[in-house]
Amino acid sequence: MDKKGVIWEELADFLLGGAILIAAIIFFIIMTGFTTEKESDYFEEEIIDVKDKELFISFLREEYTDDETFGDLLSEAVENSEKKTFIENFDMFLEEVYETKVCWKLYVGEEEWISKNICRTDIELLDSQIYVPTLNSYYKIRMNILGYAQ
Amino acid sequence: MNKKSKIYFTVLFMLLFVSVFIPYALNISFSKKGKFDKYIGESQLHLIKTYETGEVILFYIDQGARAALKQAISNLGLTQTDFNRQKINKTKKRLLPEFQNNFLKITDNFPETKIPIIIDEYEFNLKRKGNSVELLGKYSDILKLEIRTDNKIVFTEAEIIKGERLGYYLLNPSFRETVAIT
Repeated sequence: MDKKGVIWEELADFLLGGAILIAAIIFFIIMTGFTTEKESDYFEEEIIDVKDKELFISFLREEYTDDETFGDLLSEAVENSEKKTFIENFDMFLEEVYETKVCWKLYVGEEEWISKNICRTDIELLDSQIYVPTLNSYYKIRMNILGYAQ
Repeated sequence: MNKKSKIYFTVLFMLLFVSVFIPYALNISFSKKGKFDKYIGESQLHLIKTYETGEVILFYIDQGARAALKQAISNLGLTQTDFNRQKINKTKKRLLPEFQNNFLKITDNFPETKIPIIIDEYEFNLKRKGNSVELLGKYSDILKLEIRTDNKIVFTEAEIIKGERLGYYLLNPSFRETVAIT
């Protein structure tokens, strides 16, 4: 084989080897890498849900006085239907957390129980629910921070 | 294979790849979960969700212990004097059974499934703190919460429900509750 023939032979080998390698990589990426919009939305929603719940529970575990947490204050407020103290203190606490006033709603079961402040933005900051027990049953409490307040 | 046929083969291979393999891979990728059977991150998501459920349960237990203690104090009509150093042991003997009854009732009422608390696994310590009383419940065992793909809340002691189980998440339902007394 002459010199030119060797170069062509090398080039042909290189092209074939490279093509197979690139094809294999592309095939693998396509096989494993794609997620539909529905799937990625599902993951995003689930992660937001988990983060919101974690945040809500940590709010309720925050100390209100030496012996009481906001969770204790909330369950007392719900049980005694006396929401004034809870609203004032929790609103102040949320203002400290978000460094500005926020508009928020609290639902007991399906019923809207508290609605505090008027929103100026509609970027939802938190939406989560937990269970607060009573002796014979439990309350389903949903907290929704709808955005920053006016 | 000579150089000419190698070049023809390469061109043919690329054509085949574009017209057959890529559509096949796209079809698999969009229609099924692909080679790994689960979406990337799906198992982690179930683990995080179980952790979230665990936090909800622990919060419920904390609040439940507090409600049970308040109710027990109220039912027995206990006041600050009952928690004096001289009387506290006697008070503890009266208070704990009442508290335990209330607490078990509350843990049985948890939505979806009852929390399989074994009350004898608790070691209780009652003490007075100023105008309040503190109850420490130290649980010597653990609760095993299943990490499940169907997101059902299942403790291992509970009835086995069909569905894939990825592992266990361990919870310790110990608590420390302080309640004001009059």
